[in-house]
Amino acid sequence: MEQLVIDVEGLQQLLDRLVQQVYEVIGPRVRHGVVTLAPLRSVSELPAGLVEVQAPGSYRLEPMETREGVRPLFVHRVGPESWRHFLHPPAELLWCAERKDGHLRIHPRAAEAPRRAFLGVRACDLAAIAIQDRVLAGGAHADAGYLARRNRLFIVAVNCTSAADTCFCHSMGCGPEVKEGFDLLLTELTGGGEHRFLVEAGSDAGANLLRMLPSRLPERGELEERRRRLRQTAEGMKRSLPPGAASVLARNLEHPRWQALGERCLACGNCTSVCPTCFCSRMAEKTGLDGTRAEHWRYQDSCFNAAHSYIHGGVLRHERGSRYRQWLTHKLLHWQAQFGTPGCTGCGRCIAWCPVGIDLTEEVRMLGEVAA
Amino acid sequence: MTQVATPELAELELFRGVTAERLEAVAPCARRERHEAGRLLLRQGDEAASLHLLCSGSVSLELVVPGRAPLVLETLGPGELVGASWLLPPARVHFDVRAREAVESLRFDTGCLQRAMEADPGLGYLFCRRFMAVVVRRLQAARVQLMDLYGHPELFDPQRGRGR
Amino acid sequence: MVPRVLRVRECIEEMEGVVTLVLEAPGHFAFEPGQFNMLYAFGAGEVPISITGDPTESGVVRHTVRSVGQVSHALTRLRPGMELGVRGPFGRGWPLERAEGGDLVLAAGGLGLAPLRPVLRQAMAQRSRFGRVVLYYGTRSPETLLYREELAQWQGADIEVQVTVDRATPGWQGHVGVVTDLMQPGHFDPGSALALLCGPEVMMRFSALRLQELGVATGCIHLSMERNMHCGVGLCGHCQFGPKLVCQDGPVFPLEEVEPLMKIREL
Repeated sequence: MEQLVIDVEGLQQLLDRLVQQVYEVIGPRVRHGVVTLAPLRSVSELPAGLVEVQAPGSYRLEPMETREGVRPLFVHRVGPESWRHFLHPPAELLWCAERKDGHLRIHPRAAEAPRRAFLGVRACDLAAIAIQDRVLAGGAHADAGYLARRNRLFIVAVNCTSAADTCFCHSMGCGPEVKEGFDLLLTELTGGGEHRFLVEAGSDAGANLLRMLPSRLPERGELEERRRRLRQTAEGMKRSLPPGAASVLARNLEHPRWQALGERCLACGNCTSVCPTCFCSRMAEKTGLDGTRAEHWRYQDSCFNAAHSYIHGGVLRHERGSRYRQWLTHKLLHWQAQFGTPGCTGCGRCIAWCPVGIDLTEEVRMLGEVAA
Repeated sequence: MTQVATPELAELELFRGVTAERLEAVAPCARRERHEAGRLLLRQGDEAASLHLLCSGSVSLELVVPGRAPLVLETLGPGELVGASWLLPPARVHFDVRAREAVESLRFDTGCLQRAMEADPGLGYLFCRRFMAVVVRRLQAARVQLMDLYGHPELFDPQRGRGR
Repeated sequence: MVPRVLRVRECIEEMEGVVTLVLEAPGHFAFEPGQFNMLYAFGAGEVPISITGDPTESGVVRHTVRSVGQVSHALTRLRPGMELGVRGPFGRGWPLERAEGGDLVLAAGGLGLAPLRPVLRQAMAQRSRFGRVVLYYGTRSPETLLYREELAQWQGADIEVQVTVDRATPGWQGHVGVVTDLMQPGHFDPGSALALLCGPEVMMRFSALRLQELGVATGCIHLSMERNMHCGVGLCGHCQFGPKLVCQDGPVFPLEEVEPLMKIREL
């Protein structure tokens, strides 16, 4: 694959070109003390020199020492939001119904999907998008809204040049290096105190756009820096999912540890809100006051809500431990049977954003050890 | 009412694997009986002197409530044992057992049966186990009936309304 | 994803709170016995309801609905001439072809008779395809008997219909007791029988045990599971049952596939 080098000005031109091509560019921006994903138009809006320091139950945005005198733009890693919030939004109107003169009419929601470009998609989140593709568009019945948004999507991925304490993508085989599923891929370089990006195209659209940017061929040292940074990121990852996690879970579907977990877990659903692959949703009906119109909405749901497992007569999963088990076994065991991949990419968001600091990698390890 | 020969008993599930010698001891306790539809095989409050093994037809277990039509608790058909009260004091029949149609049964004199079981504790143990199996199965069935599975389960769910 | 609008032709009140909706479906509404539709009541929402019609019947589609929640309540309040939305049919149905030439054993509990009715209609129409056909049907009380008149029709069409109630009322001449008590040796050939079960999970569990005790192979027992389906097409995640998505992999499952899952509490 051809690799070219652009500078920060080139990155700004990339944004400008995307805007010209009528893409709404969404990328990392600081808001309320966290890195969120929001529309942006300028490189100056990126979280330059900021790092998300994450640990179980903790997230802090901190300025870093400069790297070789440069304030990197993509050193922050992953915040609470993921691209899922745009591709499979938490609320979506599915259809409108109208009752008039005794007749019912049902209109599909106008399938007008925005043309969006995601800037700064990490390997873990790219893997998550691939997983959502299988879940929402890979079966016999595709989610039309998802498919429409997905088809109009342009992805600018970025290789991670450092890992947070909560990251474990390497052990999931999802990162830190981006391998596929992007239009353009950036690797941020700072060697020799020069701030620039190694760019690779992953699609025709990406290649066409790259051709319009002022670029040059990379030097050997730049390719070497790319390799070194990715190796250091992988090696610097402190967390890992123990190998054989799926079989550990399969053997321990009934285990006292689930109950102990249930005593810690608050069933707040934070993990499912920040997870880039969680897709559960419930349907709800909104009615107008005059009784002639109704809207059928899809809302994000969480398997930690009691109503998630409701069937007439009651709730199937009363215990919080059972709900946590549902979530974890779905991610790491049953997802495989349902969709042919695990449902976790190792982004670590659920660890950082759990208010009581439950760490799934640790839970799997404990289950494995107690069982052994 | 006719006497029952040991080979006849040997064919019944209740006596499966019981030695010929032991069947000899039990056979004199048994009589083959016919009951017309509507007749009582056992009557609530009576001394529990009989046990019936149903051969054909079916019976209903009825609870007699003064001022109300008899309440049918359960119906039983061929192969079923009817009457367990004799095993333990005060040995009184708890329910009316009524033939729902023409019924053929083996009626056992429980006094006779008890004497045979006491004289041969091995036989006693074996029968106690087999009677117990019937009692346990009925108890399980009664519990399932009590759950009112097909009714409105939400009213019977003890965990409903518990916190998140 | 958007429902078709169908008109209610007839509402049959089966018992208090239970209505069979006969919907006009222009042409032929093709489905497999055991499949379900998502029914949409205007202003209330959608619920999964099994299809209870005759698969060969043209021009209509039938559902039996019990009023247990907001949506099902709205559905039971529909009247002839009114309209509702229908998406489907969805899911995997009963593997009826496997009963060809052998005995067919159906065990239904309560409203679980509804998804088995298409099987009974088919068995009645093509009686020679099967050996003995036995229906064991347990319900709460004589007043809650579903399809009362049809039970006699099926009986008349060389189908052995055995009915039991949990609670008898004065005048009830039938069986009283649990549905498993009806299942006795000699009713069918356990070696050739295909057993289809539908009812509350507890009832299906006990029925499966009893049928196994009578010699029916585990691989020949199938049951219809119920879970909280919101979308019907495998996208909403609500109907997960371990590795299964009940709306797509089921609702009918071979016992072998779900028996280990049914043993796990609160799965």
